[in-house]
Amino acid sequence: MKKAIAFCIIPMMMLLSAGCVSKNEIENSAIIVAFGVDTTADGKYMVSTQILKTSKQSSGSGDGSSKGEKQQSDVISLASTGSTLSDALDHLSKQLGKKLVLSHIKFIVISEDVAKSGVAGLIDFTAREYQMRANIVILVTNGKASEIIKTTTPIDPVPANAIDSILNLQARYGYIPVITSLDFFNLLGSKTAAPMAGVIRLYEDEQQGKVFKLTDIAIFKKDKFIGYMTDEEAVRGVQWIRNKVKAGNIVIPLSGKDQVTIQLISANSTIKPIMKENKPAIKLTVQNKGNILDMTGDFDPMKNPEILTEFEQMENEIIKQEIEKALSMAQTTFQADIFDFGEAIHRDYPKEWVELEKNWSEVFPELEVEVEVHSNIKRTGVISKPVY
Amino acid sequence: METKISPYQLFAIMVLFSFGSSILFFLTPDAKQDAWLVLLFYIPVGMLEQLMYIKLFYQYPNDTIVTYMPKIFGIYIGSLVSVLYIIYFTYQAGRIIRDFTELILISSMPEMSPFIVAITLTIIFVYGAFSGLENISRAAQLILPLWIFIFIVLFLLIYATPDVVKFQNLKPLLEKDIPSLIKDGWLLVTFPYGETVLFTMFYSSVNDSKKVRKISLFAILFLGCVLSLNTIMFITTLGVKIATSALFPLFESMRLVQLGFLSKLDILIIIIMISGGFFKVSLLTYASMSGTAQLIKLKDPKYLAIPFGIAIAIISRLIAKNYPEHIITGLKVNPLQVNFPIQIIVPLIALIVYYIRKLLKNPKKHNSRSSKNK
Repeated sequence: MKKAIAFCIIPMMMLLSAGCVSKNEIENSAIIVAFGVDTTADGKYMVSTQILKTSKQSSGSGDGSSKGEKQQSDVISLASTGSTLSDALDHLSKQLGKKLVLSHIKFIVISEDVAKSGVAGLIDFTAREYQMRANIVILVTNGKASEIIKTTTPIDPVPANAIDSILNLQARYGYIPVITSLDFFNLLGSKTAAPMAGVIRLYEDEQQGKVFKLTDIAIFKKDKFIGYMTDEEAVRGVQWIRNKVKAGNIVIPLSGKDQVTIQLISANSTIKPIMKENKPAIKLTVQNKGNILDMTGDFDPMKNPEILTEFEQMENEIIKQEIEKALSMAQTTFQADIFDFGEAIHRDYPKEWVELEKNWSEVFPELEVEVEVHSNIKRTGVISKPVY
Repeated sequence: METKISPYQLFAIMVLFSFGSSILFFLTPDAKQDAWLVLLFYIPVGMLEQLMYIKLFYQYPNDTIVTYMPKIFGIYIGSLVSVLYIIYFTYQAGRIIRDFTELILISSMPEMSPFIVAITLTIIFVYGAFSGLENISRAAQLILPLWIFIFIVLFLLIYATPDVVKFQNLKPLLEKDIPSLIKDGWLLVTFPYGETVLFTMFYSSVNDSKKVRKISLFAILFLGCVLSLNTIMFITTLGVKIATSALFPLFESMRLVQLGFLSKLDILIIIIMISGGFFKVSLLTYASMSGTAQLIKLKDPKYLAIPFGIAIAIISRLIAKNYPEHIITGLKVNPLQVNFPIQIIVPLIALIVYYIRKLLKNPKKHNSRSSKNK
């Protein structure tokens, strides 16, 4: 009797416990790898998505290049509109009979118009939606976000992967800040800091058609976009301050036409708030090590190592200039605390901060920042003296 | 009904029970970046509570809280108190089931019917109670090292992921002064430290009763330190803003692990968290089952698992309309109205009443208590 009951119950349990309530078949799911947000003429959101083709075999691999064909892309891009972001994504169901999978999103592109009207809703959505991870990169574009999403690239059949690899590299170089939704959320929640985001642009290339380029910084005040920082030196200055420059080149102009390029091997910058006669100030120290990558002129560092000390002095000045450019842009042009100096002061001087926080918008433009750079040139490459 | 567990097994169930749900949440959000310090401050308080429970236990080394309450307060009031404890354990089990149902629905399967999740979880968890304390403890003995190992690995992974851990988030240290921090964190007395009142049901099952005090104090110390480390991890990875606004900061921070192919480990985290829930619910259910059995002098509490299981599943659905309501009840209403009296006031009164009685009964030599116990 017991056995008979078990015999009936066990298959039943097996059938029931292998549930399929929120099942997700791969061929029925639309894996979104990136999306862009635009506004339409009537003030709604337009979301353009880049969706992986799941039903077909991956194309463009193997012998595709020998035929000289243009590599086929593995994504489709679709767009839909709605009054909120999630509503717009929901309206995709009119065009696509698949369930949206948002957990593989690598980045979000926001058009300038959307950024100007405020991104609080978008950031909230990325934090609230359970599938999306907190390390999605936020990018701003000057044109249409849908253009970025639609553009295919010969580098990778999935354009989002191409951009993602640029972002991974740029996290070490200083040409663009890589800001994730987590960073943005934390900066947005702060009463004094101003968020920023990297900028992606499209360039027309004669051979390849449209090419992505990641440069510049989009600066926000609260959740609204206020302007671009386009000066390349200032952008790297920002990254120096944020301790994000770990690689890259520094060109030192010498007398006449001669130049030296230093390749950074390692770099580190520290922010230390100090109190000067009851006034806050920031002490920024940058330390870096580099090698000579190319050089013209009549120098021989192997015979005369003092010349490297001279180069180091010049390198210090150049980095200092970059940082000061960034500081003056942030303090006077934008008046936005993109470096989160406020939080740095809060960390070390919590008592003084209570007063400072109230009128931070007046304190920040006047804030004194002492910059100190220590460069160190270590090696000269495999030759010593320039040939010519 | 001779269930015996070893001191180490007691340690394992105490640790796993307390971690079960407390590791999910950001405790003491009011203390912001100093929350981890508050957790450390409250370890001695947790130990004091534990000493109080153990003091009571050492007066009645063969009894559980359900059976010694009638001996202290007299048969009528005492039995009422015992019934109160049984109801409390059942209610807590229902709350934990609800916690984990919501965790699954929020973090991975929003379209799932909560009834199915609750019933499935209850069946598995209550099966643990059905198999009895010894089996739960043996499972805990095996799983505790595994848990610790997995957590160490996850911690290493998250600290190895570049640009995720920012230790400067912990500053400013002691932004508020210590008294106000202690005031902010006083609810820690009830959760997680006070929850160990459950173990007054199990101390008498330990085969080496002399070690109970040492082991349980050590468990509290361990719990406090790991919870503090855990909170440090939340703050350094997520920042105070997200850590305090995320519903499940542990889940949210572990999602940031991205180390080569090792990324998107969310489901693994949920499985680990639910294994903690298993011990919590099983032990609570077992406590209410065996308590009932002791009260009505039933020999084997085993089959009480079925009615209690059904009750727990139903309670878990009835206690709140939506998730915010459930959390408000759990963090704001219950600690004052339910947990604090049950976990601290009643045992304290019991201890006082016990001493007064002894003084009245035997005013001259109240040191010879060991001879009175059977």
